[in-house]
Amino acid sequence: MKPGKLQRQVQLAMLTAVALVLHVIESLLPPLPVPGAKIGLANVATLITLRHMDFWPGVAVSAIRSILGSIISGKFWGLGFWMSFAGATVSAVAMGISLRLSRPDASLVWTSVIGGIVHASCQLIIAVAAMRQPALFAGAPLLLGLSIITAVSIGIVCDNLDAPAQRLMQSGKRG
Amino acid sequence: MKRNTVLPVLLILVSGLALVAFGIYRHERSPEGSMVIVKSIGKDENRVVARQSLSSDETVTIPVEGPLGTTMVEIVGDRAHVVSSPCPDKVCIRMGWLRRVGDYSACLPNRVLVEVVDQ
Repeated sequence: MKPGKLQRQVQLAMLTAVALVLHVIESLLPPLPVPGAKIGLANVATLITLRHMDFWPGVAVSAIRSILGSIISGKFWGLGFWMSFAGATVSAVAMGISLRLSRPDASLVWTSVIGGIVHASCQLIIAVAAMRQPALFAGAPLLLGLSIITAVSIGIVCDNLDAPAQRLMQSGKRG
Repeated sequence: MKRNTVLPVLLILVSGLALVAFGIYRHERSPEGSMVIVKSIGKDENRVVARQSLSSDETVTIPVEGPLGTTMVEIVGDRAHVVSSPCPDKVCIRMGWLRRVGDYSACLPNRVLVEVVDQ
């Protein structure tokens, strides 16, 4: 095993655990009045992984978090699971691509907003396909607007987490 | 956050608020519906379980059978809502009262769709 590989695995496991805890905490909070709209707390962990580790670890944290999260909350394999899984994974891929394209010191708010918009669109498309009810697209402005607002907040949170995350990534390297 | 990112972030926040305001405004302006349709979401097509006029004063309760059990839809005068559902997340109940054209409530786990239309 290459030196540092174990450390990366431990960091990845910790980030996945953090994502899972945030996911569960969010499911305990009173939901937003608009169905489908979410605060996206677990996205904090995805964004941190994408920025401080790499593209695929970030996508993996997001996908594994939604699988384990839905098992814990008893929604595994239902339509709700597929909406959450597809939304989380596709938005993580979109955020990863946007991070690759932006400057390394750019604010995470943009990435978060892109992720939020992709997530909301993904959920809406799956819901419309599942119900065969294109009329649901009427709710799109409200859903997108709410997800932009929450995504900006999450992005600001992540920007402020840069220093602690850096410390987590660097810890142990000296020892 | 750096100085030069504050303004763009504020701008995008305002655009988000504008979208929300637009969505609420459009919803408030849509006319009241005259009929509620209760559907069961099938594998290939949606089956209409019940159509109920929203003009009468009486209270009607419509049970809908789904894979998880029975979802109860209640129509009181000119509005309708989902009263009880066996699903885990209760999104359908949280959607509250439906009265305007385009209002809907859906229970994806139990495959029930309630929508208000104009006829």
